[in-house]
Amino acid sequence: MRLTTGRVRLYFGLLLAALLVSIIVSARLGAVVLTFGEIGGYVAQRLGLAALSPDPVARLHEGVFFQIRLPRVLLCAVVGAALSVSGTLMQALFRNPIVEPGLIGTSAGAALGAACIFVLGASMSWVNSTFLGAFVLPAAAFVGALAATGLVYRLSRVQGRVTVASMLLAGIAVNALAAGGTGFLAYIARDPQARSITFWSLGSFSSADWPSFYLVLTVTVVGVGLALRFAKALNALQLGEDEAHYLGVNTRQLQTRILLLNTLLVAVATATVGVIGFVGLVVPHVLRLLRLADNRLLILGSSLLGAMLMILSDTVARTIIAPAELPIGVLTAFIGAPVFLWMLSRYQQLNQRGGFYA
Amino acid sequence: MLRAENVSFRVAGKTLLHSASVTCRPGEFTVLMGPNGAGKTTLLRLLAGLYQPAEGQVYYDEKPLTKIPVAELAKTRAVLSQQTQLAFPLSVADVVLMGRYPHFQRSPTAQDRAIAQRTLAQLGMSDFADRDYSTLSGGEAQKVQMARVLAQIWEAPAQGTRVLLLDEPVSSLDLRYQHQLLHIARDFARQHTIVVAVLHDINLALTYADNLVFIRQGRVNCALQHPTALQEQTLEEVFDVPLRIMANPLTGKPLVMYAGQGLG
Repeated sequence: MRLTTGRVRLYFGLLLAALLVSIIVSARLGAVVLTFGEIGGYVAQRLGLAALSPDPVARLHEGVFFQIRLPRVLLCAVVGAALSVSGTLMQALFRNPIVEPGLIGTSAGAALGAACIFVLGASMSWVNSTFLGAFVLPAAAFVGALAATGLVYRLSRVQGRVTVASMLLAGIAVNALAAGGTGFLAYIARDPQARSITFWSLGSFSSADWPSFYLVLTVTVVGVGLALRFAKALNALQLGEDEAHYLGVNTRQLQTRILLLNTLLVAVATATVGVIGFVGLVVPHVLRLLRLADNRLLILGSSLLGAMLMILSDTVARTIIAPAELPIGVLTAFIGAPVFLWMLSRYQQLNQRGGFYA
Repeated sequence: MLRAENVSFRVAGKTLLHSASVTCRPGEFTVLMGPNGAGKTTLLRLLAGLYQPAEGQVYYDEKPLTKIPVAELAKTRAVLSQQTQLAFPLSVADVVLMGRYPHFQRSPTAQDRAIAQRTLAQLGMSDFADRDYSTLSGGEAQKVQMARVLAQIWEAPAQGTRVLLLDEPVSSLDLRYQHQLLHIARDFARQHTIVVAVLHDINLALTYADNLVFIRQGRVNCALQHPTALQEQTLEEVFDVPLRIMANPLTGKPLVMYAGQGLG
């Protein structure tokens, strides 16, 4: 049952290696297929190890690699990490393995907040013209996500305990409300805005650029760092709120902090690439199947595995029907929803026998 | 010393505890008894600092409990709850090690691990260290939780007294481990620890307790210093069952006998 330190090191070594491989493979594939030699050459040039090639095709390919391919792959990585860590945090907080930012309203709330800016922000000229403008969209997404998550969390707690039924019902209601709001905004919006809302509510990495990568990277690094500080308290919370209190955890404070942290991670990711569901559900689940139980390991593992899975999903999404592109949210739903249904049926069966993974 | 002074507790307008006062001293094993829904667990949770009294105050070493930060309190006060279910699978050893959480910052020290192993051994559960907690039987789980709780306050603090609060600690245990666990609890009391337990078995209580506190309908009915001073009338009033107190032929301590309903 228990993992040896050696086994944990092996898992993390493999995860890290798989992540690096998927970054390189994904950066290679697309409308223009680059060779590993070309990629190596561009990196060497950037590092000043090789002379710049005068060949115009090579320069074009280099542009594709550095301006389009690489920021997109890296953005996938940090968004995948952010969403997966968020899923891990939510599951620990709700003490339930079938919680996910998409199911409990966080993503839909963020989407509504961001859609408000898409539609209404056009009439606020300062949004587009000032330095602050770059933060308006994530901030609005944050407010929307916080309101939605807080509402679901409050509604699903019955006498201090979260029941799956009440959580899913509260999630459905809040998701429907937020989706209705987003739909209304798309309806009153003028055409280009409406299309961007629709496109964006399915998730896409096609607008990836370096600034958006840096924004999500910063939030994810800070978020994972903070999450690791809460890992021990979250472990104690597994015993229940009362037990965590007896072990010296200020549970109220912990709940507030985790909700805020989770909202920040999801809001910034959603504001950048749209709604991508089920990643936060599947990733921690896979890690638990590997017998990882300590939230510290789960948080670190989720960020690596989440990054890798998101890169692979996006690679599939942009190559499977090339030259067109499948919205990534559609793809993750196709993979994640069946997993969710399977988990739900297992949960119903095994709940009576006292353990989800028993 | 752990002292509840005229504490009242209400939930949704219903008063669960009316102005209860109890004094628990280090070195003594105090047992709370009473019918279902009398307010025993409520009183225990007030003594643990989980609930805030609506009126009155709980003092721990003469400091109001509400003034002590939870992280501070967790170093010297441990609580065994009636049932503990885990949200995710964890090994038994990891569950017991959680008892050391208040004492280490990031990773458990060798000392923490050694303490967790010792308490697990004391409860006879060493062989289960690598088992998944969720596969344990009710009694096994109770022993593991007891090991965790003991690990939390294993070391005597430089200052002040330790507090061990047990809510129906033997409810799922077989006869041997009922005695084993209460023996451990009383041993802890003898090491200058305040030990308070909720028990249902009156004869187990009479065997191990130094103090008996009877609670009925949210009121402390009477607090006795010594089980030997117990009157049949008191017990009949509290539990509403006809009974007799005799001497245990093995120990000479009081032993409660009853005929059972419709049989005597």
